[in-house]
Amino acid sequence: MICITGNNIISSLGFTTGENYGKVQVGISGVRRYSGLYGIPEPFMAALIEDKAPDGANHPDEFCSPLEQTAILSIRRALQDVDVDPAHPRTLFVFSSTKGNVEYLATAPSGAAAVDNRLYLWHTAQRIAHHFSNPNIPVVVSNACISGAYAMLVAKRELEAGRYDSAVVVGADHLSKFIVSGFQSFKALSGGICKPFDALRDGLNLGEAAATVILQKKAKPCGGDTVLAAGAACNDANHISGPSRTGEGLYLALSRIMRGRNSSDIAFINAHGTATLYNDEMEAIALHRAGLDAIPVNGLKACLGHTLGAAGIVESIISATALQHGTILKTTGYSSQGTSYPLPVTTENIPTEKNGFIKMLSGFGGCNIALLFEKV
Amino acid sequence: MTAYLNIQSSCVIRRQCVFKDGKKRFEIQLPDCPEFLSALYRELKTDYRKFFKMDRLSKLAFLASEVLLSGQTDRNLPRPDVAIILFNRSASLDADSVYQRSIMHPEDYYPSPSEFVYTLPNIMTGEIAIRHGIFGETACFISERFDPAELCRTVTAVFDDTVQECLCGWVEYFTGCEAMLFRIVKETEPSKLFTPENIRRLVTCAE
Repeated sequence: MICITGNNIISSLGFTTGENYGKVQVGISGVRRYSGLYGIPEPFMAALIEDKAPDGANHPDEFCSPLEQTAILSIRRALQDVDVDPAHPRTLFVFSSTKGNVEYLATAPSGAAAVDNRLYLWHTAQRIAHHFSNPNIPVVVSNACISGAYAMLVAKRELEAGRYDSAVVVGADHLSKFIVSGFQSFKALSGGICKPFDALRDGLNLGEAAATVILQKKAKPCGGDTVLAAGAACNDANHISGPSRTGEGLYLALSRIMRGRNSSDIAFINAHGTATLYNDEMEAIALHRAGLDAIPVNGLKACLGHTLGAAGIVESIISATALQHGTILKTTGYSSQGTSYPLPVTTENIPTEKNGFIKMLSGFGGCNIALLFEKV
Repeated sequence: MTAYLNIQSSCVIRRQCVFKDGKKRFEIQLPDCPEFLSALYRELKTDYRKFFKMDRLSKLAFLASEVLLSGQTDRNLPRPDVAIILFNRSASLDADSVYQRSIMHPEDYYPSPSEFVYTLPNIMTGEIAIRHGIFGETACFISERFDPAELCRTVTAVFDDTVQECLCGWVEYFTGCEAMLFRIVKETEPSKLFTPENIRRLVTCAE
């Protein structure tokens, strides 16, 4: 079995999983209003890691970019309580990011971008793996907003194939003029704190994070481990930026992970819940088609923002922590039914005795993923 | 029943030449990469208006997939059992540079959604999926250089019982203009097996 044995989240809400979970649980949001930041003409709402180097957390490696440093710090903390040697040849590093250090494009002299190694995701991943003296070539996933969850699926397969005993899976994205202006051009950003699945939802909030899970192959998991039981990714084959009207890819991915399984064991579904009109509607359609629309649904993006290549990892960790506590978290920002197929979106933290949850995400390029986790 | 992963066909696009299954199909003497892509589109007699909206990375990936799949598949038949797994070196840095120019100068600040959407490398997998009705797993991996062993390892792991076929390979547009695409099929008899050696052979005979 493939178990999450260690984890960490660095986000707008804090530098540990505990800090993040504690704040999400009571509905504290890291989303703030920024005006003039990055030289962007229009103000925007986002969940930024404002103090990227607080006391005791500063500059793990002075040769690394801020993004790489945040990722390194997250990995260090995730490794603290587990018996995994990051330098061992049977430990694999998997890195997930949508845009890496893209902000350096702004300062790269014209035509010289090709020789600025910091712009390459494989280089960022190598920097991080070298910091931990890992001898293997790291795997780099860049698959839009499903990247973080897909990185966990890739690591699971590598462990199951027996090539490695442990995997360090880290997802990281920072915001920049590049990313924020792009989402503004799509008119995808909300002017307030986002409202996942709500009738009045009007767009997403971007967020920054670095998050790590340590995955280990175990014959017998210990209490407190969360098992990554199944995963599937499917494409909508419909549109490169618009969510599918039939939720085809997500429906297929959900059907695949639930094949031969009973949905009565699932405590909740942690949706992508970006709070854009079309994403949340698409998720409702897919859940309805998959016969999973009676299971409580929650979304975390009003607290953490959409953390892009880290989102799958951040939200899986928060959800796994909640499940370990026997809790289904509320959906901050949600108050009234806003999808044409109704979903039981949570408004309060609810106790549960069930043992499983589903994490799902969708992204540009028509990609969708569903992961099934179980607690031991 | 034992299942084998065979290389059904291959396409290599490199230095103005297009090779199919190791044999040269076209040579278009245009050193400029965007012009080469347009000329190849005409040469393949493709009729697909979305092509002209794509960024250059997606155009290259799309054309390589046309060489492999055109006339070979029924595009009206949904294929949930086909996956697309692509690798490259520079992710979407070519499209990133185009988009960056639109936000560089405060007096000339016009971020364009149609340019921004291509600033993700996996968009090329989406374009191929839309063209051919492919509903299976689609993903993009980033590597410093093309590694046939890494390709075989990653793609073999994708083949579970829901996957019958995978379009996979390397599509790079930034530090060069190069595509190496393979159609891998699951069959009951071994033929040209999907091994790093066979991939290497197909790639080097196109040099």
